[in-house]
Amino acid sequence: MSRAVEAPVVGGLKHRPARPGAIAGRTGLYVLLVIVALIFLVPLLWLLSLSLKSEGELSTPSWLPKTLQWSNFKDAVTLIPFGKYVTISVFLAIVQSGLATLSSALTGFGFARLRARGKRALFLVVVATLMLPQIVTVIPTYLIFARVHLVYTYWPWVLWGLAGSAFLIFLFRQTFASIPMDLEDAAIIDGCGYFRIFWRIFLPMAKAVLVAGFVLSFTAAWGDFITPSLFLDSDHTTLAVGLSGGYTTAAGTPIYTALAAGSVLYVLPVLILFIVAQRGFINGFVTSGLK
Amino acid sequence: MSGRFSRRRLLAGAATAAGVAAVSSACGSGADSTTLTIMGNHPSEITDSDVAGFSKKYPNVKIKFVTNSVQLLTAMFAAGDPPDIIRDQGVQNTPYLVKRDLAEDLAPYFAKSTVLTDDKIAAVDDVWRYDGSVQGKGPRYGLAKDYSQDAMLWCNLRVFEKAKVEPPDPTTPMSYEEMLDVAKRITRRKGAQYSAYGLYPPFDVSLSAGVINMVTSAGGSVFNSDYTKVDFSAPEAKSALQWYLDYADAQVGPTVARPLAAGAAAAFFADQLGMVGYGYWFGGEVASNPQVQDHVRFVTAPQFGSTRTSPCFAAVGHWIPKTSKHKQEAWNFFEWYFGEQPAIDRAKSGWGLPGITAMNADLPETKPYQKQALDVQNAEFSHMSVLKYSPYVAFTALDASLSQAFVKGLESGLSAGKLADLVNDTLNPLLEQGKELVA
Amino acid sequence: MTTAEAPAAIRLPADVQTTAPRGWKRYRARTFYAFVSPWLAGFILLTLFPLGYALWLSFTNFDGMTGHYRYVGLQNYADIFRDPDALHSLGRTALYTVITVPAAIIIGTALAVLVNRPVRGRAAFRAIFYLPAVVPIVASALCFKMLFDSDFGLLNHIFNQLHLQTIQWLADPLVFWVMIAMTLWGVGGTMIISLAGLQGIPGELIEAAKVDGANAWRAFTRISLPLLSPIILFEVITGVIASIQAFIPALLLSIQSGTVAATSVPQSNYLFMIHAYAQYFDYGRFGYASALLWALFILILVLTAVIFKVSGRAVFYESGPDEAAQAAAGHATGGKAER
Repeated sequence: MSRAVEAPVVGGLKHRPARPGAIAGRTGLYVLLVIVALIFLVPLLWLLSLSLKSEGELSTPSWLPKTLQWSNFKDAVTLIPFGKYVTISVFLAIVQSGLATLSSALTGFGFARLRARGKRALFLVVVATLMLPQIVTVIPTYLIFARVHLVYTYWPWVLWGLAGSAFLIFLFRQTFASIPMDLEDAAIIDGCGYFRIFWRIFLPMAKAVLVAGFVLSFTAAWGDFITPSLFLDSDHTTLAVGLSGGYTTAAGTPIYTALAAGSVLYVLPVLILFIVAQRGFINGFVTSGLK
Repeated sequence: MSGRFSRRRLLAGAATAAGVAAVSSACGSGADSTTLTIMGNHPSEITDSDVAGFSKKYPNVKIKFVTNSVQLLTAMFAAGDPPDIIRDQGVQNTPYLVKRDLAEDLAPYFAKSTVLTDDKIAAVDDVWRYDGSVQGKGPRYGLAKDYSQDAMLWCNLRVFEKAKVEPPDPTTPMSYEEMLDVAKRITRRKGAQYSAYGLYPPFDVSLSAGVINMVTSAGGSVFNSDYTKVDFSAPEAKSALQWYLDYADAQVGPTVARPLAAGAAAAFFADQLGMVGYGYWFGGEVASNPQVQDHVRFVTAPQFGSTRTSPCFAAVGHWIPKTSKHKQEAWNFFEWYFGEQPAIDRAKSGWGLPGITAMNADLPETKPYQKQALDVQNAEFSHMSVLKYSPYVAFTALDASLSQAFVKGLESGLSAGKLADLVNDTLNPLLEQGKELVA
Repeated sequence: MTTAEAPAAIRLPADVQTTAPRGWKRYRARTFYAFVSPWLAGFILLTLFPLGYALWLSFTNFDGMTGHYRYVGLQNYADIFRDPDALHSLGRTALYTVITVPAAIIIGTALAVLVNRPVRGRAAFRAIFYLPAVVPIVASALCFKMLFDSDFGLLNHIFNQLHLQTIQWLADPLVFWVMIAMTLWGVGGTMIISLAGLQGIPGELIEAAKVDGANAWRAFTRISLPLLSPIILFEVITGVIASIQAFIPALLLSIQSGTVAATSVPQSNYLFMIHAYAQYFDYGRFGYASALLWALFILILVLTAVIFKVSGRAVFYESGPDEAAQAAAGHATGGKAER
């Protein structure tokens, strides 16, 4: 069935003659965005300036250090096995968030589109899982994985990915619930099973949410330091753990300049991921209807 | 449905993989190599060269480091598989670990050793001794990797010059009153903004150690004779609490309610802190900050009461758990790390005093400030004493309850008596429970 | 996620299920369980067991390391009510939640609307707003501590230049607001979710409304907002749940290091989880801490159920099978069938 109306999506580039008020409105919008962006940037710029200061300058309010201490960055990557930590972090984050996004989409779809006895109760359980502070599950989970000799391996991340994340399940459920019945019904009439419906119809329609979910999930995995600190040994752990405990003097006191530099580097991969993934938001979707 | 098959395949694949992983790791890495699991700070305290040297001596032993965290330690003990070597603070934790049957009695190992013998080991390591009722006597349960007498002071002379105040004498101890008075005179402040702090008292390492030191010096004790109760409302303890309140009122330095964002070291090196209560180890930090080296002075510990005390507050070192499966290998590592080249390297770095007395000769004295610090330190050794902790409560609880009481007290203006009651009320039930759990 | 404006011919009656082949219901039920099986398996192994373990611990006086401990029944739970610190921390957490959740949703959604418009450099703005949510919390706390430091922070420096009285930002009572600022700085996460939701709103609906004479604000409140409501409900619930469990920002804004960081948190930042954390790792009271966490869990459960119930009227699902079935059964609940 072809679509009756092919409309440009909100957010896409529109070609419309500009109304007189629109230009002023657009500049005002721009100014607002710039102001807000500056407010958001201040702490980050401060972090950047911290990463270029010397130890003695830490306690001064100046923006720019007297000389740019690029050596802090060198320290950041030499005081800890930075490259190794980065590789492991990237690997674990991709595995966990990739699997979790797909698995959660599956589960969210089930909750949104299928009916079965006990579904309501189970969904409440999903949401309830969100309410569990991590401390509660962390030590017993260690016991379980220790029993099956999976500590100091990367398998826990595969398993956590496969199990999905309550947060994403909830998100996908809300997303899929908003899609009208018609498409589904038509597909069923045509003889499609539910997995086909999921894979061919609903999943593509939820691309923006998939991307958002993956990015959020990746960010969470990237920043998680409790689980790697418990399940991985110090030489094969993630950057999050390395950062939070690695930049110390022989007496155990933290080296703030290296920490700041390390943090700047730490943020880069997720930033890049975000910039790349953002296209998924821009292209909104022009879906092609039912066949 | 193709979909269901692929999902099933995915799950089946994961299960098989997990099984394979389990089987392969259960097989172990071969019968002739063991893995020593160490919970410590690598590479800052146990350096790569320490590990390399050990591996050369014992090629069949692999070393694995795990994160230094209480959560992990608890989890590993709960799973029945603790690390073989565990980092800890000997001053605070030895009685606790021993009473709970966690630490291995190392006396037999010491007896057979040639590297670590009683005559070689420094007096500080008595804190790692416990005989069941008194800390400081009995068999050894661990060793300090290095130590300092943490109640001492480092002075930034530039702050004193600016205020035109005489810096304290290096070997004559000030009283806490005098110290507070000096601090008042060198502090520079405008409203809530300080351009120079006068004092950062020796509580950074451990609040409880700082307080217990003051109380001991005044001839009292926070514990009763069998360490089952605390009483902070006894006169000596109350006056220690009162001093802290006075210090906070004087607004001459950071407190628990108002910490230094960048840390004391940063302030000191920026000439914005006049006196900081750290031990010899701080010289290591001074070594990496050349700009301050020509105006520092190391000074003897201040004296609160009638007895002159200068204890160690932490004695960071390692112990071996009773349930470790590799005790001999752990001991081999002990001998290497505490008695041989790594210990010499640590002494040479100036980051702490060595646990082996002979290595005091390796302490750095090339720069003038290092010579001055070493002179003062040499005079200080004779005032070394052992702080005594209770086996029935974790030292973290002591530090925590003091910290919490101070926060409340400083914000609500409580009296020393009220503070004492708060601390007593928090700690005594815990002590009671501890006694019961250990019986 | 845009859908076609379905031409009338394809419109199916809401009760299509009843005319479907037999065994349909059973097929759907089986498929449902198939779809949720990965999550279900993970839940039983990785959540149910730990939960049970924590529940059991809450009835003992386990101290974390010893083998000796005993059963104490409901004593731990009773102690919660007699613990002034626990109750105080509950109050602070409630205040924190009530302030940050609405603020985050409003700011996040507003930002999403702004960056959804066609402006130049939109991608850069999105990145700037999202970036703080990615920065490791250790680094953000360090930044904020330095920025707000009363001696060397930028803020007091500016105050000084303006001859204003310098303020102690990192102590009570202002440190609470610094913590809130730090939390809201990470609003980029909410922004992304709202943005994804906005992307799903068909452009032609807004166009149609504008043609009918609605201005931007009306178009937003009458069309976008209702269509966004499931996402907003999601943000409210996840926001409340997250805020009640917050503790890392409070912890890191206090003293810089040390074994007892949790207990040097200023009184106004003393959140419930900080109290629980202190009980676990500073005082070693594992049993009591587990009871605290279980109590919190039940509290959150109740709160979420209430939010769900209350939201029934406000949330508009375009149409899912539940809503369609309900409409067919004649219940006009909060969900409305597609017009």
